[in-house]
Amino acid sequence: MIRGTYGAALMRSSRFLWCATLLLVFPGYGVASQGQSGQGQSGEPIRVTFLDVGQADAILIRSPEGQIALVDAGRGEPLRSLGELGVEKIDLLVATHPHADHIGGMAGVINSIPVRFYMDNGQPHTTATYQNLMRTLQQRTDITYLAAEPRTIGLGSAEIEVLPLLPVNSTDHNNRSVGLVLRYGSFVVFLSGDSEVRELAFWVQQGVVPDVTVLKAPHHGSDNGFTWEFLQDAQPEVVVISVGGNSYGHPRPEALQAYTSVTPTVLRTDYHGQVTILGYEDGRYEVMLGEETVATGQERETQEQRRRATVEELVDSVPPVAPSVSGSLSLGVFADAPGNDHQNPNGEYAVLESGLSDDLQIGGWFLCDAASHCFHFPSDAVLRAGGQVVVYTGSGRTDGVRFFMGSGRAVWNNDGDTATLYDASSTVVARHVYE
Amino acid sequence: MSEAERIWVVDRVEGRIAVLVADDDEETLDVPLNVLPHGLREGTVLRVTESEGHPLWASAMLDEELRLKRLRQAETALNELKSRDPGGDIVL
Repeated sequence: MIRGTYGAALMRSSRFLWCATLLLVFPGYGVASQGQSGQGQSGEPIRVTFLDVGQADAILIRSPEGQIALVDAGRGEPLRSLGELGVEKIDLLVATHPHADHIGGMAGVINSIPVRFYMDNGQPHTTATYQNLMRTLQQRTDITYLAAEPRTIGLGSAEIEVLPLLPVNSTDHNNRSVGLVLRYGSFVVFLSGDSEVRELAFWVQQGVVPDVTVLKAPHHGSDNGFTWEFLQDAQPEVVVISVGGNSYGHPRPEALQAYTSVTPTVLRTDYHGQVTILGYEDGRYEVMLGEETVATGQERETQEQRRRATVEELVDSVPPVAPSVSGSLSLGVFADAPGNDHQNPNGEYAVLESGLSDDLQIGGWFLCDAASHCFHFPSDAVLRAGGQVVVYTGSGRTDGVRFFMGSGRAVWNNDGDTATLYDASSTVVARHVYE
Repeated sequence: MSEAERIWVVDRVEGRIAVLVADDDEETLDVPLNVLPHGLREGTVLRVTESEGHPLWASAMLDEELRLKRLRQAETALNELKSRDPGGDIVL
């Protein structure tokens, strides 16, 4: 993803020309019916339903093939809503973090509906609500536990990418919320519990925030639940705020202003009730309140298509290698990780070595493979004179020499690939081709 | 006047409000931080005297020993659960 100013990013994004123009954030605004829901040209849609569970979260995902994931379970039992939606089993249950407004109904769900997999952030809590959930999970040995670590979960023809967590002991529960990117073709949803600024900034720094179709407002629309850099990367077409009556002012005016400056389609469960979004593989979507479709979006390129086009455009439009450092930087890729590459993403890595006599500021530079999987160096990154930096594919803590792409899967092809290094102005400064 | 002790745990802190969860029935309450003891954080365990069914927040005492005991128990439970993780990517 090539970053620019926020305004430039919006102007560049043709998605905003396609976006529906309904203003839904405040009660009393018009809600217009725009057509019937149903099967689109690309087949059955995926359904993402934001349950109306008050000041809490519970998001139900139903894949086109019928696999079901429930992300958080409110503070009471959302069983009535799940029953009305015909949920008879849950393939994946995710507790984004152990606060009662996210796990309060979880033990009840587990005791009432068959659950196959359960995922959490592995962070303990001391409340009775959490203790009850742990006891329930320990008794239910038929449920498979999944740690929230970079990995991919196939949900029928959709896919859930689990984002890296902030390093342990560095923060509080909110900033250790499980981050999920749901992808069904070009339709992308970002869910991250009660993430606050530190976790959102971490994901931006790791380069794992994609362009999304739908964003669940982190932390119920709190003023610490967004950053402009995060919104610039995510560029949501629809924002849903899961919120109810509360004594701490959620959603905050600052957050509402930020979201409505990005998209006109901002919905709140306290005003609009249950919100369902049908997403199609080509990126189209329909926002439904009850049986009524209140907003639609048009098809869009996949992120990979956009990145590929952007990189091809760059390659076509700039000299192949900047003369100032040409020949002074060498790039190497060690693509064949020990064992299964996808299970050992840090077993593969790229090495950038300097032949320069001075330190080189590489903040804002980015390294991409041929399929446009890119790593952005943080703003303070420096390649020391005669030194090297290593970019591992998986996750880890950067120490200024070792960097991590944050991918849960292998990136570099073992049978041939091209590594290209761009500087902050998108000029190609080094390239390495291997077969 | 009948008095009893009830355990409340700080589930989270939202601005100047502590959200407390009762041990016995998981009732939740929003309580201003300024009526609670200093040094609260997420997970703090409070022993609170109740009079006629009303918590006397000025009486709240931190129980650090119980907090640490619960964390150890939770770590044990989590470690057992993590042993069930098959690792890698999953297809449902």
